[in-house]
Amino acid sequence: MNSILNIDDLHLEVRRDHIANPVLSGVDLSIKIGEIHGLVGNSGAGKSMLAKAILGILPAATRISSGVINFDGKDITRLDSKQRRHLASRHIAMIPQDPMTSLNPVRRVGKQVCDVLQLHMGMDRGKAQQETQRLLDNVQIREPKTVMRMYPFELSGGMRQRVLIAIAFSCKPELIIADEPTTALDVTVQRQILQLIKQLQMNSATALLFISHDLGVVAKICDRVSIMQSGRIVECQTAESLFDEPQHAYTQSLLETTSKYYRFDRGTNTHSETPAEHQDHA
Amino acid sequence: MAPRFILRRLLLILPTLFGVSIIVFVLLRVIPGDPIVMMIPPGATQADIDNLRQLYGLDKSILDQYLIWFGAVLDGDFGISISLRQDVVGLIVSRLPATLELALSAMVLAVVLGITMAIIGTYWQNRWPEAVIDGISGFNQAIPDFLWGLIFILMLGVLWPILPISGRIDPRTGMEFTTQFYLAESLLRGEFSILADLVRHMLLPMVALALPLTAVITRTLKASLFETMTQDYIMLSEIKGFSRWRILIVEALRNALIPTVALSGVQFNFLVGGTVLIERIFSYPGIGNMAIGAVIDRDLPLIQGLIITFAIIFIFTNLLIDLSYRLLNPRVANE
Ligand SMILES: Nc1ncnc2c1ncn2[C@@H]1O[C@H](COP(=O)(O)OP(=O)(O)OP(=O)(O)O)[C@@H](O)[C@H]1O
Ligand SMILES: [Mg+2]
Repeated sequence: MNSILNIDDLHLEVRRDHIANPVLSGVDLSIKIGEIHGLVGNSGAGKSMLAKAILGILPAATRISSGVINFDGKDITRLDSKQRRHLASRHIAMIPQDPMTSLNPVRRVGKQVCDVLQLHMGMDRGKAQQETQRLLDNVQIREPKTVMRMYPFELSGGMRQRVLIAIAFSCKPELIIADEPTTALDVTVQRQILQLIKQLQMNSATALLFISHDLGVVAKICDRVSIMQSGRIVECQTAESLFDEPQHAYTQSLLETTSKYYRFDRGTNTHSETPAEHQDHA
Repeated sequence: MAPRFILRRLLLILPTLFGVSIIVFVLLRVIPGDPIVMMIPPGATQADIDNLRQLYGLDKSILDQYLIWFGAVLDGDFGISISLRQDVVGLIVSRLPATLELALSAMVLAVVLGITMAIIGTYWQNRWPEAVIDGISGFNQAIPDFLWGLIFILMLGVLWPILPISGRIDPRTGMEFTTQFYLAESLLRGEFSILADLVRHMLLPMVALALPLTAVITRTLKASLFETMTQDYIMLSEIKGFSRWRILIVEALRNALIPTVALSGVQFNFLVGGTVLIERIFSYPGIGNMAIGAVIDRDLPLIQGLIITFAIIFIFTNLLIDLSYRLLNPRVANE
């Protein structure tokens, strides 16, 4: 078995006014160990809901009606929150969409990284602080010692996202879910962050589920891509073949809307980004 | 950060007190009620009355009276109480500690109770503990402090007399205090049986004062905690695998306290104001109790001194609230 996550015929519904609306209707998805797997689809297709189901943070009104989410050989839909904490939280991490609201505003940045290390890696405070410094350095934050003592409001969005990426990678998880990790950032920072995620992922054994609207971005960094349409995965391909021979009509229409940008980028692919632009210290 | 801020606020105290003193001084002299009439024995002649009036300077114009009073105040002299014939400053200094101990204990109790109930209500959201807490604080919010006082006297003093309902200490204890801060002093000297007696006396007025503030803190903090628990960083903490208790106490509480302090701050002032009636109801020898006596006797110098004292307490209460707001919120703390 070489996949870390196997989703099989997952059905999920939202209750609204006593009516159950299907949000996911039979999702099949498998993520291989160490791959970057893109998940693309238009707004409302259910991408975020799928991510939440994997992460175990579904809103109260939602219910998994059938199907399994197999992580590392165990069905995590059957776990209660305590079991989940023990089994899954160390192994599945997340890079959030909005860095501005994803760090605790009243706690120092360093502390927020240390916390995770102390919880999952069994480090004492001193050790965790050293490791935090190293991790922040890894996400190309200059003067990590100073940044560790700062509060989130003292950092720009790009810096905060770097901190959150450091947290996501900190415990060497088997899977990281990134739900549109760059849409809240401005364009130049977006590129740096994408490059950073890609680079960190390559240096680790972590698989990445990368959720995006943007086929162009997905083409740059993903190994395989799943296309989602109204609660179903309609196509799953390697990034290469998806663009050359899209099978599904929906994929073709998605491609048409992005092709203009995409053709420009295609030839230059992943290694063309401007390396380490100036850092956006707040 | 904070020292500059405190200094600025302390400098503001003087003009504030100046304004308060003028308003009080004028108001006391335009409302009906003559202090001299209250103190003369029956059958006194008009000449006696005029003499007394002259003695207390009440025959002069309001402006002259104010200037004389203000000049003396600058020397730390608030005059002589008309009804008690004692130095106003001495009277207030001997009674103030009792009120401070009562008010501070009530505040601490309200904060601890309020935070605890809000946390419990949030942790067991949508289950019976939350319903119980909502019930208690809804009920609690409808009852003012003095009514609690009367209920307590009736229930725990009369029907089921387990607690003293008047005074501050059992006179039979015979302890010689060097300060008027009985509670603090007995604690520091390790006189725990005396401390227990003081606490038993203080318990009912303290709880009566604390309950309205508890209700406000519970409700505002719980609403604020609910709101905080839906934030992205809380969700991320869940994903990271922190326990719900830890998330609530370590991640959410401080964030939720910031708006709570801003919203419930004014209620601390109500608590201080509440000491006046509560001390009267429980015959507790503080400045609130004294204030009611002073008003009944139209004891102008004493009333003036007491109002200035209350104004100072209000100012420090607000300073404390603002300081805790700044301490909780790193954004303003660092400015
Ligand atoms: N908290 C919620 N309660 C009820 N329904 C929800 C909730 N969140 C999302 N939905 C519904 O679930 C469906 C899928 O939403 P989801 O957020 O997963 O879409 P998405 O693919 O992530 O879209 P986007 O690209 O805009 O982020 C939508 O129809 C939405 O209306
Ligand atoms: Mg989404």
